[in-house]
Amino acid sequence: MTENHGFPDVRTLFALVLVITSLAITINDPLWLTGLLAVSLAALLAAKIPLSLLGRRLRRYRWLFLILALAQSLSNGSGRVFLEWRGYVLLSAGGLLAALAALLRITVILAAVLLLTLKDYQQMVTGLAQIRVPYELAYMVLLAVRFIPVLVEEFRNSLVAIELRGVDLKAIPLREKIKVYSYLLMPTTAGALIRSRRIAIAMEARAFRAYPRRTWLEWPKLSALDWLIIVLVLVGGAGILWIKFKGVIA
Amino acid sequence: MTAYINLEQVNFRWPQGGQVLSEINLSIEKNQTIALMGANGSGKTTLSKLILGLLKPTGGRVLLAGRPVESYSLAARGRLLGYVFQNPERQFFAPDVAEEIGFALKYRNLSPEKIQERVAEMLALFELEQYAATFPFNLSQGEKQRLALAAILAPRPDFIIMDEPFLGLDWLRKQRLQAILERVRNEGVGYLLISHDQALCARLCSQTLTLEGGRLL
Ligand SMILES: Nc1ncnc2c1ncn2[C@@H]1O[C@H](COP(=O)(O)OP(=O)(O)OP(=O)(O)O)[C@@H](O)[C@H]1O
Ligand SMILES: [Mg+2]
Repeated sequence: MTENHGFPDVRTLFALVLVITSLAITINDPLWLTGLLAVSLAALLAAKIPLSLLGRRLRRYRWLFLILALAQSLSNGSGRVFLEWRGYVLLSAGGLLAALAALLRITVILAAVLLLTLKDYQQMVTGLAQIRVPYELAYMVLLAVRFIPVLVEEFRNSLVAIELRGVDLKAIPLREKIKVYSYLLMPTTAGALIRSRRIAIAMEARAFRAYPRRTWLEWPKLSALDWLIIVLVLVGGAGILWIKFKGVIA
Repeated sequence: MTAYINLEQVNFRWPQGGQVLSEINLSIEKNQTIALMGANGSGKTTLSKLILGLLKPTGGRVLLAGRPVESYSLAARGRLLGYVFQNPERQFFAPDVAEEIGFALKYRNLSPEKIQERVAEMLALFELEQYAATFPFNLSQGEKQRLALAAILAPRPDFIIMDEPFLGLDWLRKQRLQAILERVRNEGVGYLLISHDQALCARLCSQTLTLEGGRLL
């Protein structure tokens, strides 16, 4: 993994990811979301994380995208109506905006989370412990993060298994396809649950948390630049949230 | 006419690992029953995945029914060969046992009645009736193994590749699976059976191949 122990500190990255994702979740205005996307892309570029990585993740989640955009568009029938069927609004200006916002939102979140790839697992656990997250919890959170690639891998394996049963996923109707994809979440989540249970048992068997405190090998200090970014990000984020709740932004 | 499965001078190595298979030549007819043996790590599973094109050979080529395996879609390969994974859990995706067995049938132009009949037949054959509504992941190891076989046999494939299907079965179930495979064989369906059980291989297969040092003996 990356041997990056210096700038940016893990805590700086946490602050960035936390603020960007919370803004992405609360804001609905496509224009502001686009701005947020620009900020996260700039952060990725500054961190020298190739944007192609983001492209690959986007491609991986394209079905999720489509379903979300569709659901958003269908459940919002405001504004000019473009398409209607027996009194149901299928496509409207409001629906399109909502779908666009949903797409931007996921992209921003995926981009922000990519920032965490700068640090390895151990550095992140240390970072969480430094911001006073109990270390059991820190391990749990990071186990979850670490399992995401495994989950994606598992998801792909299940796809192969389904197709090997003679089912051509490209050729089946969309409704069936959605059903198949929802099926696929099953082995993926079941597999993950079984594994995390096993790991928890294995960790307890090795006397994990036998002592109330533990010793850390590294306990790095924050540099001035880290402090600056953290303060800017937190203040900026809080400011944007404040004007959002004042009703200036949708 | 080329054989159903054809491996020509197939080599395989992992990107940062050593050579697993060297110059494998193998041709299997549709109705042949072949056993594949070899020590742990000798490359049996790797060889089976090469046949299905799930792994690409680093040299040589693999033909299925006369055409390069990679020219078929995964679904088409699945219709030519039924594959039972070494770890059966890997291949489950449905919310219950009956659906797991019936799933592939829905896409093969079978009527709903016919599908139900097949599913019932498989549930009975593999003694899984009382689990028809169970979540596949909650089955015991041996039950999972039986479900995997039931799901693969349900669409009546022409040829089956089984990676250690007897693993985790009790004595009685081993006998029963043996009887099932004998029946399959009598119906003219061929298989490649990966197993560590010499006696079983001799009973169920007309020919036994052994992998050693990356080569077929
Ligand atoms: N994904 C992988 N990456 C690198 N090496 C691998 C990978 N999978 C398997 N191997 C190696 O390839 C070799 C052959 O593995 P394979 O699974 O084919 O053995 P096998 O004969 O099926 O063994 P077993 O009897 O234990 O099932 C082993 O040495 C194994 O360590
Ligand atoms: Mg194996």
